[in-house]
Amino acid sequence: MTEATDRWIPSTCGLCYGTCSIRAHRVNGTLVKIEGNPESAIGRGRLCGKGVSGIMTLYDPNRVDVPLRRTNPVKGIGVDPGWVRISWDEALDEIVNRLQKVHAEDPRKLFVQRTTTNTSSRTPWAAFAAAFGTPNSWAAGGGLHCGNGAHLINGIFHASWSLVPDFQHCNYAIYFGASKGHGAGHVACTNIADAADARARGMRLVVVDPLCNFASAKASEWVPIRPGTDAALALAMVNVIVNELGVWDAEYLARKTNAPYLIGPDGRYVRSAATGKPLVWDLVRGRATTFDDPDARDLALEGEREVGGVRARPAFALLREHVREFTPAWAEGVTSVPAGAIARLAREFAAEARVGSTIVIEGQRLPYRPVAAIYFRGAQGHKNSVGNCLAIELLNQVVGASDVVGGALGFNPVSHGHPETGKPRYEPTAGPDGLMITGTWVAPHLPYPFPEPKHPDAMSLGGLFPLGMMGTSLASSDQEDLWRRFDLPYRPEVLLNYGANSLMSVGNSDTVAETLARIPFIVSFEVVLTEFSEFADVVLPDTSYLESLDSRPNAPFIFNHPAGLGAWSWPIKQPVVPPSGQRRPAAEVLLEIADRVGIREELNAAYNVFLKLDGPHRLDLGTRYTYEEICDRELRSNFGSERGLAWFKAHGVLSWPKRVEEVYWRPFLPVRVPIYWEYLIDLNVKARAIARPRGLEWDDAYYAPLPRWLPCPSHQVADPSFDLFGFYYRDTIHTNSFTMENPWLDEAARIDPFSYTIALNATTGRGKGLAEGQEVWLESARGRRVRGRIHLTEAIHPECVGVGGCAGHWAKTLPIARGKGVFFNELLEIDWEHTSPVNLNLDTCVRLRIVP
Amino acid sequence: MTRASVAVSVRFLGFLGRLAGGREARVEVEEGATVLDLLRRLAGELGPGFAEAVFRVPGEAHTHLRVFVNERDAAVTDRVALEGESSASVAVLILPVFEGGSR
Repeated sequence: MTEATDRWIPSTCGLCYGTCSIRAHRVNGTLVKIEGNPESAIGRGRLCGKGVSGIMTLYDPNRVDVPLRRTNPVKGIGVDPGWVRISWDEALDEIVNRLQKVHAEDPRKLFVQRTTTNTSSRTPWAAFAAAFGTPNSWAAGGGLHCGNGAHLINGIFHASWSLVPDFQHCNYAIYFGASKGHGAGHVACTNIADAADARARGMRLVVVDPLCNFASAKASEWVPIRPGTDAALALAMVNVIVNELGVWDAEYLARKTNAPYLIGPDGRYVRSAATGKPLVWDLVRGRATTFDDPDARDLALEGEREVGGVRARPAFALLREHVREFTPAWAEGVTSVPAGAIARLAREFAAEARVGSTIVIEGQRLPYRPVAAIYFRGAQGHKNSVGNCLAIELLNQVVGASDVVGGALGFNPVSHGHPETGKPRYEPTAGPDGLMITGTWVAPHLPYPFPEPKHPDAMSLGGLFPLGMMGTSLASSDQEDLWRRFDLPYRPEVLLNYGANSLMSVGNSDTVAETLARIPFIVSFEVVLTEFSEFADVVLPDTSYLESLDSRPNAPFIFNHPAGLGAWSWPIKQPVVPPSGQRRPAAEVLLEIADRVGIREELNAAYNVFLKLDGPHRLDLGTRYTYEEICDRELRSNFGSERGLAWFKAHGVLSWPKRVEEVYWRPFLPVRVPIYWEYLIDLNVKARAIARPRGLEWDDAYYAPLPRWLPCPSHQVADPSFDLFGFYYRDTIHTNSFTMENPWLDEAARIDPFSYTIALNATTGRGKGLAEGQEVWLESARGRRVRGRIHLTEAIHPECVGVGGCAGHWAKTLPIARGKGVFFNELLEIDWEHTSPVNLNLDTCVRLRIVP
Repeated sequence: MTRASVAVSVRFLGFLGRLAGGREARVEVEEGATVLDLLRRLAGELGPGFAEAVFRVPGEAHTHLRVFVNERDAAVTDRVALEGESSASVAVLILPVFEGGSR
């Protein structure tokens, strides 16, 4: 064997957005094995079952190999499109003609949809949408299910997309519907190793979740909770901590939050008449001063004072008063968690926080708060996702366990860059009213400061809801009604889809199908034909992650790079084998389409911004580049002329050590975060003034400056026969709906007692006369039904049924996935009633009954 | 004393072209004018739709707005033209929201 015929090629996994670094073994042109790459911090040589199975996705005999055009004009679920093969030229001619027409008429008529499974698609598609001039793009359920609230709160408080405990130093972590370190999501494999090491070191892990799942099964304690009630539990814990135990980190709250800002009777900041800046009360000088006065030494967190003719109280005093009503006994009624357990958890959290303590790390004395409250999909997937996540985050904030040693760490909010080039470099800064602006973000639309609410002109109604990233009206049953209410002056005419299967990933398929059937022309870039493909007019054969290139699979670092001390790593993704058939990488196809549509200048400008290209590496706006050239320029721009694409193809990854002040950055940067969301008061006034005249149902409660528990629609179903709460959870064997066609993962899922079944509490099930393995219908109060097999278990809340992942495929083009598992999303309504009026999040729990 | 003027060629990228009623415009600004001055001037001339797209609140540009002066990234406080230069090329681009988490 020679180097040419037997090679290990460094690259990046693409079977979930964890994007672990891999080494692929190619022998005589054939991929024979995939392993983790030990030279990268992203995975550190570890790889999950999905990652090693990628070989089966690459060589799937049902891959799309040629462009296809439908011949059947009728579109519907289960309707055969009547595919015929066409050439790339024919396909692109048709697509370009459609896009040119739309671009000339109104670029907003283009709707762009992409999967989040493949992170390499983010930049090319975002750049294309920006260049074309459409604000209408989404991740087909992403955001609505997992990120509108959690990522927002992480961004506002931690300048990061996600949150983990400081695994190296945390002693007590409490997870609310999160699985960080237990098999799914951002940098999964590194987190798994770090979480295991932390547990071996003695970190206590408490998991609050309706299901004793991947995290709770390995935890010190599982706390079963009724779905969608996390805010009630967290607020009761905060109440115990600040009102019964009298524990809080006064120094942190005074210097790093808006806790000392004086609040007037109208709920707003009391501001300096001269500067407009929020005022605080200086206890040493006995007078009010602006929050950024460097001479203010001791800021009041309590009391009431006369300032500027009004009685004013610090925000922290209002928080203490606000949470007083949320007693453990009250929370027990909402959450089902016993009051005694809630009080105990609060005591444990407060004691382990060691408020006031410090520790020396690499020669620097730093605050030491070895506790963390972590939240994600479970807490966030509800109409009140903002309230749920904010309430939990307050646990970190009151004890100061926020981006300090041992506490809750955002994923890499500060980067000083490679030692030789200083890139990529970013850090949070102070924005309006001293509140933190993230140093970098996954999308260009930062979590703070918020834009002014305006009359919406996007399909998502996004302009009206500055906190929302994605909106349900991109695929809702009341889509047309909402668009008419706001006089949306256009309708989508072309949908470009990249690998998303929105028939399954948003909510019930009937509603999504209706919205898709109204779009005249749909193009889908696909690896295999899915349920979504049935609605496409043209399908283009895409390369898989093992056949394509990306210079930034783990950028930005706030998305999926390990947090905590250790190394930075910048890997690339590169083709392990050349594409078979007529498959082409979508990023290249988009460059060609842009050129032919006439938006090359715009696309190059967008790439310059997204990739932060500068100096000689900047794209000339008028020049046509290949995607390889663009990737090469990004790498040289960041790491110097000698480290371009050729260097990275040979080495795979560039690593350098992290600094203490990058990881435990909070004490080093003069930024504050808002425990009191004063800005929501005016946002509500302005947004409501636009929405109410249009007849949009509005609830001011979602705009309160301090969080409350607010019920989900599932909590308000009156019919007692619907006696169970249904929810889905991320299955670590699978990634969303994408991997069920992989035969190795399918086999693992069939062996796993949970993957393809309906988990039901054993006592509850036996009480209903149900037996293990029995097939039943799950029926929602709206009459939607899905069928599946019962798995009786003690590991689920007695009032709940839990369904793993997003299975239950029905497409004939997916012979392995078809008919396996349960399609939970089929039970979800997609409409305004189930949408948050503050961040447009979709409620993903549903009241059910079991029908044998 | 009257200040010299600078002829600015403005290119509206992406959907700003629709809001501006065309993809290109030519305006004159005073020597020493900043990018923010230019945006205010354009917002005044092109109407509230353009102004809302450019400004988060009156006078403060959106974080997702990007301005390029002579093909270089520019901050809103940057001058449109260097001292003594009589012309400048400016491009303005809005970048959309684009992220989430499921397939």
